[in-house]
Amino acid sequence: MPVELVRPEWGLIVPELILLGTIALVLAGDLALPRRQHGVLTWVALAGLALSLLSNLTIDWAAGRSTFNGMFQADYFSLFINLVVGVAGILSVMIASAYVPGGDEPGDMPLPEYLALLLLSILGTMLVGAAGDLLMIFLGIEMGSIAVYALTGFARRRVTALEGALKYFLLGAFATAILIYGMAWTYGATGTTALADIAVRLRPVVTGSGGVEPSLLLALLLLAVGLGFKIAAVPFHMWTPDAYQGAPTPVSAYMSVVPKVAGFAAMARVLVEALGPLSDSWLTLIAVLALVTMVYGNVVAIAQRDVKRMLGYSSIGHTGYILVGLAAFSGLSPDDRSVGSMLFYLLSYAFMNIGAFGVVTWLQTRGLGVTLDDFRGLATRSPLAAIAMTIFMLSLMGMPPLVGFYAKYYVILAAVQADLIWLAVAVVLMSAVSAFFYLRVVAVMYFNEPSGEWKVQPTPLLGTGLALMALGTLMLGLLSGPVLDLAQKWVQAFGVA
Amino acid sequence: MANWIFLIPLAPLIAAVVNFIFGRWYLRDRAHWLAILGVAISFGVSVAVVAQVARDEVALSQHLYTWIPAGDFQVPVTLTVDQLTAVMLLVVTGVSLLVHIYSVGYMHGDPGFYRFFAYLPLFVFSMLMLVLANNYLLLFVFWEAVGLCSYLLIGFWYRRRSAAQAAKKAFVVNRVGDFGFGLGVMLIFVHLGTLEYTGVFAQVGALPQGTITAIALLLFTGAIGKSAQIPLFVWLPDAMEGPTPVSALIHAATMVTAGIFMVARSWPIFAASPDAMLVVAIIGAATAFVAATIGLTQYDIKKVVAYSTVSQLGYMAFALGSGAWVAAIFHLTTHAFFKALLFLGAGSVIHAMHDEQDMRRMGGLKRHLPLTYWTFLIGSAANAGIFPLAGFWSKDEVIVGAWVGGRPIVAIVGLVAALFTSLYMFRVVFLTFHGPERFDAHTVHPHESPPVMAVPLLILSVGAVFAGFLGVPPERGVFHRFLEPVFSGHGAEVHHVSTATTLTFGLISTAVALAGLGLAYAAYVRGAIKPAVVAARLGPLYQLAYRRWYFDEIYEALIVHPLYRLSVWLWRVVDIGIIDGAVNGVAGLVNFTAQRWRRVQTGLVANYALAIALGTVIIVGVYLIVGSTLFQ
Repeated sequence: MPVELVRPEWGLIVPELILLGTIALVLAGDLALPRRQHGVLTWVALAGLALSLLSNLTIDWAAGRSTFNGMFQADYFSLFINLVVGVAGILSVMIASAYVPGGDEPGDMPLPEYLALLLLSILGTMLVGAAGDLLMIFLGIEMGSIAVYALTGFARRRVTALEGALKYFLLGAFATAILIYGMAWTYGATGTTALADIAVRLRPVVTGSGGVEPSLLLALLLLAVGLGFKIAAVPFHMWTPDAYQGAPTPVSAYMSVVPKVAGFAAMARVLVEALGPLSDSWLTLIAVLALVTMVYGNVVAIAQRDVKRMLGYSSIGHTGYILVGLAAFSGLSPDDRSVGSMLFYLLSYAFMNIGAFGVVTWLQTRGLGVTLDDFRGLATRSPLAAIAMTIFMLSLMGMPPLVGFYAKYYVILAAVQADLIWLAVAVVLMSAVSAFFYLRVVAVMYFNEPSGEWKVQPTPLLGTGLALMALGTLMLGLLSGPVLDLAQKWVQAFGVA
Repeated sequence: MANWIFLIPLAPLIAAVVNFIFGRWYLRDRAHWLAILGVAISFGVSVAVVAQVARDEVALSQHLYTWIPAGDFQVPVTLTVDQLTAVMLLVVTGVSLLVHIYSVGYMHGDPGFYRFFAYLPLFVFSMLMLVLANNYLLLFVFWEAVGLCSYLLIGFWYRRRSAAQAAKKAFVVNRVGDFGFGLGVMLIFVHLGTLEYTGVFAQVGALPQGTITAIALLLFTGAIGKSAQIPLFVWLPDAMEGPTPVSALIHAATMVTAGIFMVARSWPIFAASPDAMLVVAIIGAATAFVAATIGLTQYDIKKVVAYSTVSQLGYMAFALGSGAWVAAIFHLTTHAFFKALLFLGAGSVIHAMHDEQDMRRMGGLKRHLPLTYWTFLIGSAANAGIFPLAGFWSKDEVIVGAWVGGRPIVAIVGLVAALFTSLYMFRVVFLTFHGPERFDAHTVHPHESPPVMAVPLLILSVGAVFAGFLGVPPERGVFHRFLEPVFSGHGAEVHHVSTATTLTFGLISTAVALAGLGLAYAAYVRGAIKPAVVAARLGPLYQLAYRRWYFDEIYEALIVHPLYRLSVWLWRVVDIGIIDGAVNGVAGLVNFTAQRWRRVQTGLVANYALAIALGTVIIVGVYLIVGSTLFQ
């Protein structure tokens, strides 16, 4: 039988290729440049990310084409993931710029390796967003995760960092095993790994009433559990606080967002695009996970005095909110806001959460720690930093007109449209609970006297990053309409299949 | 030009933002350049846009984006320029530009200079968005925004206790009106399912009469607060605590007319409810009259001008209530010129007298401040309705409008108030600029203001003289033909005014204005009438006017004091006892749970893996039993 060769459409993977080139450039720079000139690589990384982001303009997303035999899809969904990840990448590099070479961690942290790992993880996440096959999803997730495991332990002379990294790695491997097991069962039941084909083969099977074939259900549940780990849903979340606390702060910022985006993108691709016909079976599971996750994350966050750990738990809470969006899925129609609200939430989350971790980084580069006490009197020391942190905290809490409010609002709206009133009420109640620990930071900054030593340190790139995020948090709220419209085009993306 | 409309509000916004961020450290006393540039761009684009509207006689609009897309509830941010908005655009940007220039001189050397030039463009932005909005929600948002700017600017010298209190009072009093306005907007949405003007006006006629009246009255409540009508006018005179340019721009020419604009904009709603119209007319007439009587008795130069503003806003309101929409907007326009001129002139006097505002310690300033005198005189004559200045044409038309609109009593009240207007205006002129110098010439040396303050005065006085001719001949002037398309359709009534009526009222108005002038001359220049004797003769009536009809005292006794007592009780008993107890209880419970749950996090990786495994087993187990065919 003659083998038919398919010519890849290189034009569709331009953003990924640019990122790959940047990684090569950064690694080459590591070898070629003397150590004290490594700072220039930050700019190389930023330029690469910006270029990759811009190159999205060259692709016709409306056509929803795929290449590499359907492995890679360029549709509106992958565009939005590219946007979120690109923006999050730029912001992460900006806030890492002063910290990584700063020498505050024991032992040194080589900047080029840091940047290369970061970019590699971003590339992996972009591949998840564009995946058209279970294997691509696996590949992308692992590519993203392994780089982040290494980044978590990047402060290699600090015990807590190593502990966090090891836990993250061991449990991650465990979860990956479950995920791949689920993929195997899926293949066994349907005979294909292509997402679109899975949906096509499932559709006739589930039309009848009554239960679902157990093997299919097992496949579904194992996939959900494996991905649940990546997004840190309760009870698969236990690595989160240790890893967030142990990792260097810019890494915590990064991994609170991008690997989560990868997890949610994979969930949307797998559950909605491939297993959409089985939605009756997974919707309840997702809704219950959402409830448990948001309650647990928000309640335990109250007991934390370490701000990084508090943000770790709060990110679990936000996972719960984002899951609400997914749980509101009702079918591929333009009125369905489920995946759209999820995507919008992810973008807004990138701004406000990286921002919050950014302020912690900012304090650390000035010789302070990461507990609530270190935030004392920040308003008198640096009003601008305090204002930025206030904006991030209020936005995470869900205060209009900041973007966090609109993110929650659209999720709640989706839940109400799907008749999940109890879930919508839970989101509102948990937002009220979250006010307790978010506002505590604000109160400490404004109403307490400063304590501890303060060293003056210019960090222009970090400062600019914080300003951008504060502005983004505000502007994205005011301009939420057009952004949501773009996110809402996921229907078109999944509909073509 | 439609694609450039966005520049009109954007330019001042950018100026405001940049001045906020960089003003304190970098721009400092250069902050005015950007502000003036922003407002000038805004003015330029407005002129071009208005020219196109005037030529093509169709409304322009630019859709920027959808602010809140939520199913049936869509809030578009669309800027629309029809003829009514066009007039407002020119008034707002024109007066703003002049006031910005004037302020460079007036605020010179103030430590808050940059702050002033950040607030002022922010106000201009908000006001422009208010008039450009194409739906009630956007209108409401910027209605609140101009209120906020007003609050910030009244309390600009926040270290002065009286300024801080006046700002607070303005804010609280406006809340009362805004609450009603908000309810009105909600009522519109509940009944009509849309907030866009065109949609609302097309459907409003189909609603039951009672509903329309309720909507109209609630909307008008907002106007009562913002445009300082009885009974909520008490904040405006106190608002004079702000810098004088602010009084000229916000509390005379623009923001306070937002209420009038809003009612005119909503005219199909009001026109559909005769009861609401009657209420508007009565409140307007009462305001015009009461404020005029108070103006007769005050000694603070700015307070007199402020009460005059309240009175003139009353005129506009009763024109609206009589269906004389164009006349109301016409008076709004001419008033913007001469009242801004009067405030800036008063500011020039105060500036020259080193912050003296009491007219009993002025007099004879004509010699020292010739330019201020002549421009102030023009403004006063225009306000008094002396032929042929701007105020004559518009005020006369307002009164004729009430007469032919079937409200003769309102028209007569308007004429009486016009007599008082002329009297108090020339009282100010004579007390301030004529007669003997009643200040201590050794310590106070009045000096004419610098050119940067003088030029805006001159330009505004040109407007105060000639703006009225836009409305000549009455009812058929350029102004009317321009605005006519806005106020037609939707069952609009058109009253034809005969030439005889026009002439008669013109003559009566002139006679009334001259009578006021004559009385003021007799009393304050010749001394033929002794004001003190008249005051004593009138006794309680004089006291009533001098004490501002006891509005503040009544509010203090009936509302403020009982509310204060109630709040103290709520605080001591309900808040501390019940609510705090409940909140602390819940917080304690949550905290207790949190402390328990955090123990789950043991730190041992084996436990974590166990949690994942257990979770998986439970989920899979439950599902296989409940959801699959395995056990069925």
